[in-house]
Amino acid sequence: MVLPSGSVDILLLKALSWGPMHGFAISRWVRERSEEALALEDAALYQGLHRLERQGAIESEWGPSENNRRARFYRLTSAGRRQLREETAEWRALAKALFQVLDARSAEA
Amino acid sequence: MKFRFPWRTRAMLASEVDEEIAFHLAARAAELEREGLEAAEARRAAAAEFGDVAATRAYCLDQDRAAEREVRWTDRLADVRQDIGLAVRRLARQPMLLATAAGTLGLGMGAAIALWTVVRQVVIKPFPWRDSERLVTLWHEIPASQVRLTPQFMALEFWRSESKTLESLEPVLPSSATLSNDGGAEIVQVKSVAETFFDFTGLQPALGRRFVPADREEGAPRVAMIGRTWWQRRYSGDPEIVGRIVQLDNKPVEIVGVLPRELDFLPGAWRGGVTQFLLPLPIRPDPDRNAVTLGRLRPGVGVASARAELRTLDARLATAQKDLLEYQTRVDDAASNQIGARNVRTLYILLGSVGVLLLIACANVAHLLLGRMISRRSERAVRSALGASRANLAWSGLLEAGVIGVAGAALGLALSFPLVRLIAANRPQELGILEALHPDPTAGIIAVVLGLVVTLLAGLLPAWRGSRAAPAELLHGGWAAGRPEGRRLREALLVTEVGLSLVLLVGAGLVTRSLWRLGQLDLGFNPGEIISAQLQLPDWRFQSPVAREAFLVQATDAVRSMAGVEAVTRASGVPPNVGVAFGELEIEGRVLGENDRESFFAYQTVEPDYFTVMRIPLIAGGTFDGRAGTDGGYVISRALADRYWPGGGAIGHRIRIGKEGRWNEILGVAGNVPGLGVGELRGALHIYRRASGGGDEADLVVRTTMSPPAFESALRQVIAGIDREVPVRGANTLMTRFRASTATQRFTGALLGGFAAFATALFAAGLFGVLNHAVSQRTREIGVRIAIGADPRRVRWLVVRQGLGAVVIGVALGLTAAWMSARILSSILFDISPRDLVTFVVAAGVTILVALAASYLPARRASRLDPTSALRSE
Repeated sequence: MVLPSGSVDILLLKALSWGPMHGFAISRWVRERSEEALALEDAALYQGLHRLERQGAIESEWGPSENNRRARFYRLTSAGRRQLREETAEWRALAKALFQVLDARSAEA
Repeated sequence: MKFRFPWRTRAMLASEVDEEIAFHLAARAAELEREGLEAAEARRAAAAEFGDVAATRAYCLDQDRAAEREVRWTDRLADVRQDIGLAVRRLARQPMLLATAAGTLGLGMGAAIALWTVVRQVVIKPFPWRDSERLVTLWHEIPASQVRLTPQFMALEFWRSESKTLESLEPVLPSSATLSNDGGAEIVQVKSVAETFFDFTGLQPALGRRFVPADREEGAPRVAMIGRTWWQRRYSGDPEIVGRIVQLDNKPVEIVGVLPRELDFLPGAWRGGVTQFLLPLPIRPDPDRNAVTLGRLRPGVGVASARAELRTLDARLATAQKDLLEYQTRVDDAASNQIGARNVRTLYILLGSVGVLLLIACANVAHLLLGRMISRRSERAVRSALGASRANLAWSGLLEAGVIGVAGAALGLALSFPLVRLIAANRPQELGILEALHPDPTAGIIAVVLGLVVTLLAGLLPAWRGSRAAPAELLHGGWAAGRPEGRRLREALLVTEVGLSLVLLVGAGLVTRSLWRLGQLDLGFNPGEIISAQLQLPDWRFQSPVAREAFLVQATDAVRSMAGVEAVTRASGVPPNVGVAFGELEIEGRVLGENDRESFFAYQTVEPDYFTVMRIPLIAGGTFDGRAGTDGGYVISRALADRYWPGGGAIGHRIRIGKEGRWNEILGVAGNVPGLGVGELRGALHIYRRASGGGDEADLVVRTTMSPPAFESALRQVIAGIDREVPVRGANTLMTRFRASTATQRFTGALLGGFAAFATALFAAGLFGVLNHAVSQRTREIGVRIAIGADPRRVRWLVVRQGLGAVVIGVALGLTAAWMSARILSSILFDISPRDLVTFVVAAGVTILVALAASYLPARRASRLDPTSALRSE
């Protein structure tokens, strides 16, 4: 399943809300969490990370990875946390509205 | 504050992106390998999963660089804010230094802004009206003497119909009227304009309404408008003024409006001061009357082409107006020449002087800052050792100058308002128009510009010098050895200060000497013993010359019998403000050569006993005796007689002024009196004629022991006893009038003197600072000298000598500069060379004396050092 545009950001923010992670870890997290259903291309993931960093939602720092290689870790900023909250609410509202329409039964049924 | 890595370059950012992507691919490949793929296969799969590596790399780098740019900007802003805060705090620790520096600059800038206000409002933009850059004034000029006369209405009508370079023309007709008030009557200045004048200026009344065409009709109800500044002064800004009826020339006139401030100054009116009454011009004015004529050029037309066009029309205009043969038309930019070329020069000289003063103030502040830099060398050394670059150090030095510059500019702006008021209140009579002076809207811009200039001038050198920090010195404990730091620079600044202040001192000295010469001038009589007062006989009151003459005779007799009056006579105008006659002088039976043509004379009608009452000696011949009228003969001044009859023998010759004039016999030669102001040498060519009787104004010339105020109130009573409707214009001794005629020079002298004194004080303070600092730095050395028995006088000399070199060089440069710029001053000097040796020598002497005085205190301190404690110091 292909992600709708704009949903990459919220996914990344959600991933980072669990704690600082490097890009590869995020990629793995998304894959596992969605049981491989969400196909988030790594290219889009990294582009999203750098975009979010520029916007100030996340910040990065170099640190040792699990097997002691130098990796770039990302972490939510307070602005990012707020953005995640707001966007989550928006997505929920959107999804709810969409489901209401999709689940509506025809009048004669 | 969050710790940040130093700024990252593009290469650093790129390598980070590369490393990040490589890490991902490697980690994914390792994962796939663990799942059973072969190494090469795993790498390929990881790359395929990733997507477009190159595009991602470019995109990420792009984002990172944008982020970096933003960070840099916010960092820089935060740094600047922090640096300014630091500079303010550092300066606040030395409040005396801050106050001295900002105060010095503030005074200089206040004076500069105030003078700028004067120059802008009087010289550069006297008429802030619609399209004022296209405003011109039109004149008839006598080519030989360049005397300008206002054209007649006839000429204005002619130009209106013929000119193609002028878009429109407007007359402003000057006259005067008597305004009756409770106590009697006063004379007011009146200007008459058409209703179109308001469209011409593009201005609206401040209160009430403007004129309408119906106001100009014959028999229309009489209306008037009044000037704004005058309304505030004469009527205390009464908001209910519109609708008030005043008695003007004994007729009721309704005030229908108050003019805007932009019309306080009307062309050709600067001597009379601000606008008082504005009346509607009659619909058909007398074509022979002269009026100030304003024109507006068509867009794109220059003054020169308008002048050329109107000159070609002169021949046709002259057929309609005969005496135009002697004149030619002249078109001037309206802003130019409004207050006379000499006054313009004076104002520019003052503005230039205040600029010089400001330079000295900058040098002084540079001194202070430099001294500060030097005393904080250890701090600089530490900062430098910690990695601060030269630019960092210079920047913080410049910021300190900036803080001082801003404080100075704010102070200067605040000071400029009272200074403008002070100038307006103490305006010389000749610049009466300064009464309308108001704070200028451009003052704020000037303050900002000056603040910036001053910051750079005063701050760059110290900042540059202060950026040279030598951490090694700190280790050596270097300065205890007493190598004076930045001394060259401080001496150069001192030289500048001394030189510039000497230029101002010479200027002030020359103007003062010139004023002294004016005061010493032989006036030909004693002006302290004579009081004059003007009587103005209103037309509506005295219909015929006979009635006027009868009144004047009666008034003269009444004054003669007043207690305390020794003698009284009548004249038209009194020195230094007699009338002027234009026209080439001719001598019957003699052809004058090109160089002997004079066409500008002081001209006065007098009674025969005028010379006796004034005690002006009659050198040859006699006076008018029984003869009267326009062909009653002339008395001429000695200067005029010597001009044409150097060996004597003028009596009996007949002369006339202009081709239209009557031949008149020379009856007598009188002693010279400066009839047109002491500085106006042409006024010495003086022609007297017997009054023909019945003029509408006359000056009573009274020899009396009374004080002017006592005489004035007695005179008012006497005149009111004869006729209540005749206004008396202020009684003053001729001495006072002569003083008023040199008021502009005294105004200039006072300002220049103040600037020079301020400048001298500044350089003295600078010198004191340098020497005092030097003594502190050399405490040990001096202590040693005293300990081994040096003579205190030698020690003092040691200190004084340090500053003397700079002072001597400064004096030499200053004298040279004053010598070279002498020509600038020559136009405002009277009877003294702008390279007057005495002035130069005295100014140089004063400078050196002040320098010695400023050196004395540090020198004395040095010679009184206690050797034991001096040796222990540091």
